[in-house]
Amino acid sequence: MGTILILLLLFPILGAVIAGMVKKGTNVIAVIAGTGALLLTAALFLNLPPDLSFRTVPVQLQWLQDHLVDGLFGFQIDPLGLIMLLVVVVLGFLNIVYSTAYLSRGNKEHPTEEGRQRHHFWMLLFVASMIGVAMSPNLFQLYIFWEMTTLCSWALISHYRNEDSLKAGFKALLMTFSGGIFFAIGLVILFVSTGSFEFSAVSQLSPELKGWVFFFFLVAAWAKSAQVPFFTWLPDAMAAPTTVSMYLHAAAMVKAGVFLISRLAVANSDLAFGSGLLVGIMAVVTMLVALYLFFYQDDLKRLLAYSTIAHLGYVFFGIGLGIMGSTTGLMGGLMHIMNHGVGKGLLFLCVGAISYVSGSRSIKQLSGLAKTSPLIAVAFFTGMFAILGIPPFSGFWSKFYLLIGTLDVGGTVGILLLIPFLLEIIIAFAWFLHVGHKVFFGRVSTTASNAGKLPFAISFALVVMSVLTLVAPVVALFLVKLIFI
Amino acid sequence: MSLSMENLGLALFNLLLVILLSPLLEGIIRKLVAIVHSRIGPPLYQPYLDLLKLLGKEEIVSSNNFFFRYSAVLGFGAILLVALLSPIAAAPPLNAGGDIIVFIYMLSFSAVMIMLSGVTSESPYGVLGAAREMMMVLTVEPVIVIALIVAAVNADSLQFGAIIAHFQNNPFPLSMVIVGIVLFISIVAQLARLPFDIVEADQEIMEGPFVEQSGPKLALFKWMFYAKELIFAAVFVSIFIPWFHSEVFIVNFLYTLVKILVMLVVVGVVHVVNPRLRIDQAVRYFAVLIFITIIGLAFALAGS
Amino acid sequence: MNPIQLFIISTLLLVLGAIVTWILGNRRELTSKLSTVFFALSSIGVLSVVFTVFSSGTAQLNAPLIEVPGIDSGLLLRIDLLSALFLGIIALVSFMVALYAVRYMNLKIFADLSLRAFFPVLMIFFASVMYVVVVVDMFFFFIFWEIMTLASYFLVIFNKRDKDTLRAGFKYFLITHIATALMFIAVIIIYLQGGSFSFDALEQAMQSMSVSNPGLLHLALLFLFLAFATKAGILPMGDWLPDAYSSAPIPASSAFAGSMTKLGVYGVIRIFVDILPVSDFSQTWGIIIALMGTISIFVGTLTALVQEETKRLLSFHVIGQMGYIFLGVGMGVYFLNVQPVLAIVALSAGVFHLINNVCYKSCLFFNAGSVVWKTGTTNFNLVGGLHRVLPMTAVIAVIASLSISGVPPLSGFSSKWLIYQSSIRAAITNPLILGFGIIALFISIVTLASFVKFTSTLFYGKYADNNTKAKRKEVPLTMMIPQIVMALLSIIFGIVPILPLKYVHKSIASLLEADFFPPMQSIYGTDSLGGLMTNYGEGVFAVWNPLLLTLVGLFCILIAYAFYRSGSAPRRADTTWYCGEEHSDEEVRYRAHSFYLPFKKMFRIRIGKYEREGVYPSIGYPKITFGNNLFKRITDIDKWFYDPLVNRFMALMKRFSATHSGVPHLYLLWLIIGTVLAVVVLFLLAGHSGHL
Repeated sequence: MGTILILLLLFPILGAVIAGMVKKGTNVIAVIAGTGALLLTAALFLNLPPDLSFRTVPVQLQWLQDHLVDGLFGFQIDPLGLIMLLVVVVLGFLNIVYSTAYLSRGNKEHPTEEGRQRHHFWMLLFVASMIGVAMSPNLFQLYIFWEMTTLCSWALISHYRNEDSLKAGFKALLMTFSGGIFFAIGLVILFVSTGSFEFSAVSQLSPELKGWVFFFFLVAAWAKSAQVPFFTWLPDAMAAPTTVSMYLHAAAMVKAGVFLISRLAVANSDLAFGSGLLVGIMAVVTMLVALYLFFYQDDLKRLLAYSTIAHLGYVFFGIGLGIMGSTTGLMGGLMHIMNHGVGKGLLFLCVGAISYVSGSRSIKQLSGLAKTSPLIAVAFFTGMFAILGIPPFSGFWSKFYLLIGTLDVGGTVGILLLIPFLLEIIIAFAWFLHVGHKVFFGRVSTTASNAGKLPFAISFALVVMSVLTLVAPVVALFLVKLIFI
Repeated sequence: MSLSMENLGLALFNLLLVILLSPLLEGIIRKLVAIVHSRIGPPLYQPYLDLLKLLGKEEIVSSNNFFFRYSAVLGFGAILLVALLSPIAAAPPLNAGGDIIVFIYMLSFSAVMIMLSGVTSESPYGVLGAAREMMMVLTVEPVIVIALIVAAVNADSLQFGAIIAHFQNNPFPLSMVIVGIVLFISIVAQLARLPFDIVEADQEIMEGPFVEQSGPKLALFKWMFYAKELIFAAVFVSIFIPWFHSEVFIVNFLYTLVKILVMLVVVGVVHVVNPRLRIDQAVRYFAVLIFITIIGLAFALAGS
Repeated sequence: MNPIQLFIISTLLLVLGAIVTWILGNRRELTSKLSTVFFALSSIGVLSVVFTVFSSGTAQLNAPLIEVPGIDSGLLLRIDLLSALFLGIIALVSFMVALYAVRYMNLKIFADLSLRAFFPVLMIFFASVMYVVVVVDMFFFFIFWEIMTLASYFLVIFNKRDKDTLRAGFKYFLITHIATALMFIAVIIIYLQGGSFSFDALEQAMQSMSVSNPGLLHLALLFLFLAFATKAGILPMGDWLPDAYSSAPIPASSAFAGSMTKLGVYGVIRIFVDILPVSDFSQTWGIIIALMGTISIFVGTLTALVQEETKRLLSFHVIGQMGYIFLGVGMGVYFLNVQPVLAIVALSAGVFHLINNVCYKSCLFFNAGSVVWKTGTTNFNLVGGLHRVLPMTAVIAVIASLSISGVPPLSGFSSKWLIYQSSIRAAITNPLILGFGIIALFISIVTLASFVKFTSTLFYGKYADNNTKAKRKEVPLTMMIPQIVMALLSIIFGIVPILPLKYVHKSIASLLEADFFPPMQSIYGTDSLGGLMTNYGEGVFAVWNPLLLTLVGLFCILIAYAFYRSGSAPRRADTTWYCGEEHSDEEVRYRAHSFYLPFKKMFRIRIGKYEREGVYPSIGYPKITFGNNLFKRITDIDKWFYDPLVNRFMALMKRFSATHSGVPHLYLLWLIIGTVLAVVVLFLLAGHSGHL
């Protein structure tokens, strides 16, 4: 078990180093590393204690004995971490497969292979650091990997090295790092007052301090997860290659923020109602702001970026409901980490595929794509329905739990949260449907009529992801249920 | 069930009456019109002669279509069925076969046949006439429907037999007076008499739906109209003028006949002194009538 | 095999079919034929389930197939008599639609559209529709309901090239999505009271809510009603319906008309009769249901009258006919608490009308499809006189038209008769309901008018030669059979209404306690062949004996025929007479547009400058533009906060970097100044603390 975990962390790092050094075959190395991580995850699942005891007693392995604090470094396997781990590894694998084809001369938007090696290096490192985040047993190790993801994302967002992307990379670094400072402050206060970095240590704080520490962590998470008011770096980060955007949004980086708060919310059941309310209200505000900005977007990727902001709002919303007392709501939020990851990842892959075949991401220029690239259309609509919450696709399940949670909280708070939440659901539905119609149906536009063929790797990733939108909720439900037994 | 000897006899009687007597009533009205016009006019039996002549005349088939060929037969058949469903001097012979809703719908069935004969003739006049017929049905039918419903609400039954029996034994409420008057006015339209002979309007659209009808089919259509006159008059007088009822069938019958004659004379007078309305005028006119019947209905629901 | 297993297998067959036809999607002929086979097999399976259930009673699963963690919900199936009734309808319609689609979907106009977007979707659609009526768990009800919506959405936008189609699909999906969101909320409200999603738990939750929190229960019922009414096309929520139906390909439209819209009624009956306990609530909601039904009857049918496109006309009639059904059901729900005898008659009337409606409405859509097949258009103004090329279709169209208009002795009349007479009977209790009944009666004539237009312009009237280049050939047999079956059913159900009514009565009576409703014999005077004599306990109220009347009517027609041939008049074929003038065919055609102009004018609304014809309050598509307004500027945090902040920071840094000039002397200078400063600071600090 310990070997598997260490290998799981080291394999992508090793892959990154090799892929970054070799002269030829960087694609092959990257895919091998991704596959290796996938297989190791599978092995991990097979090796889980069959009595499901890990759900209550996390499997903890220490790998760097320290004199200061016992178990400062190590691994922790529990259902919540597994949700994150699955998203990270599976999406990472598909992302790498996809990027081998995407970063090529066949790509109509960026017909270049330059920087492929760089991309693979950072991407694999990204995967590794996210694995680290998912398996961290305490806040300290989480913080280290958290900042590693910041670094990776900075490098990846600046991938094309033009002015826009450099600026965007810098902005992302600045904003998430500023958030990271709050994390550090929170961490210091926590350690000074309790002498522990455990997730559950927050409960040991005095009520007043608990509120502040939670707030600091929350600010860090908001910055990381692009919530109001720190959301502006995310749309700009769209200057990155689509593979990067996909990973950034669906699995890594922004998910690290919500993961932190989920960890805290799950581990500390006695957080104040007010904290939950703050999380919930800010989540709803984020949803509405993001929703409002939908209407100004012409670039498909930017539209998806705002949608991601809103959907991370869903996760926060669920966590807020959980803190306010509704387990069902919390379940919904946690499930949404996976359900959203799959759906949004698929949408990004589709947008990447669109720009790959047609060279454009503009909603205005595209129409009638379903005629020329039916596979992308099917995948896009699947992803869209997953995001919009149409059963049986993934998003529906978490939304349903969230709605139950909202009404479960009930009272004035429940209704005040419910109405904007419903509005967001319906208007976002209308807008995405509109965009889907515009881009895929109707008369075939000139941009769309030039669409070329999709390489195998891209088609493969699209099909697998489409299937995953149906599978994800089952897995997510299973794992989430384990958290709360 | 309802096929007792008495009923069978009554059925035969109704059929014969409707088939044989109805042209005579038409003859009387024609005579009346002639008198008002200061003409001598045709003999009373002229309609019989017309029908007999037409039945033997050549039939010109301009459209090879089922409904063009047989709408007259179906329509006439339907009106005979209506005759069995309607009370003429007694409860209807098919009292146990259908109520007033069925009666109204069977009547509209004959109107549908008129329309079908019009639309299948392929002549624009025919289609135009059919459209007008439909519009007349649309505006006149509600009046009849509501009037009969008022009667039904008062009697708490939809069966003609029960309704007639109810008014023979109970006081005649105000609501019935209101709808009775309105119904009388609308019957002029149902019978396609001036000022409401809009469907045929021979000077305008050349007999409308019947423009392509000839020979026996035309005869049947004409006969249908005569029969309709009789039936309407009979239903009207037996429900809305129920007073002085006798237990003896033949007396009752003669009394009903007198009532019918009087009523048709009034219809004839209205017919002869009025010019034809345009269809839109008629439609608006009936909108007012419908409104009045609804007032009548309100009275009925209030219990008077 | 137990009926539930058989049912599952039959529906899985459809899913399998969907996969197979998806894989073989490019071979058009083959997929079409294969899909019919799958549909036939599943229909046979489901119909045998229906018969088993009707003969041996409710079939159900004892344990849920799937359990959802975290919430108390499981996929439980139960086929009771009501489910069986709807299953029977759905099975019949599904097979007919599939049969019709075989040739129809291979029309040239669809040649460039992939059938992958049709047959597999149709199969998923019908499979989900079937599950909707058998699940007894609200959560799964909801899921299947949404899958059905999704599938139907794809059927609506099948013709993706067309802008109007897309718009219709969008509108449809959006409106139904809002409705389902409301349903969602309602279901959760009740769930939180009862703690489980199963129907039994909902019933108990409603029971307790009706005492403890009636306001909330009303809200939940409102949301549920809105959701079902939206699906059923009840105005004003059914505004999507005319667009969606007329955009979908004909088999899909008739599938919708035959199954999906009817599920709205199923939902209403399930919730308001079965689950909602009989109480004041039934009374309130009964009136509301009936009222909404009447509004739909009135507005829908009057609007249908002015339509000039076949499918739109039929779609508006769907709305109108759903109104009749809702009127019947609403009256029934109202009387549950007042007068159970009347309740069951009205409910049966509504459901019976639903069955009839399925028959003739599908038939009419098929007729329209045959017209498309022949001419490629459905615009009334462009075609005419098609009876010459489609003689059989024309006759069937007349039968279906007369049936929908309620002309005796066809099926439409039988059910309408039941609705009318129960509403007249209701006058004693509630005059409002009589008003509904009278409107329904009046509109029935409007229906007739609009179908006179339908048949006369499409099939009769002047033959429009230039639009029908096709040869004189009827539609193929696979398109003919569904029409014939549906028309025959219309006739049979009309002449022997007791036949379907028996099952309807049985299934509705089974929803409540055994002795809640009086037995059929005492209400209709009979439970075998013969007429209906409704009796509400005070003697025979109304009579309708179609069998007797049909026989007598045939006899009367014989007499009429005897008269017709009595003079043995000779016949001569000749051309139509146009007053001897020379003319072209186009000149002598009476177009659909000209029909009923004076009548249409009566329904002209004018308020100030606003003027519109007709009673349908349709809203145009608003053009929303998103300007650079205040809110947008506020949400652009970059511009007013981060950018200035970062810029100022950068400027500051730049000033600092001015020190980094590269001249050694300056560095030395900085060093000295720094040292001095440090010393001074240290000195001051030390001075403060008193050391040194």
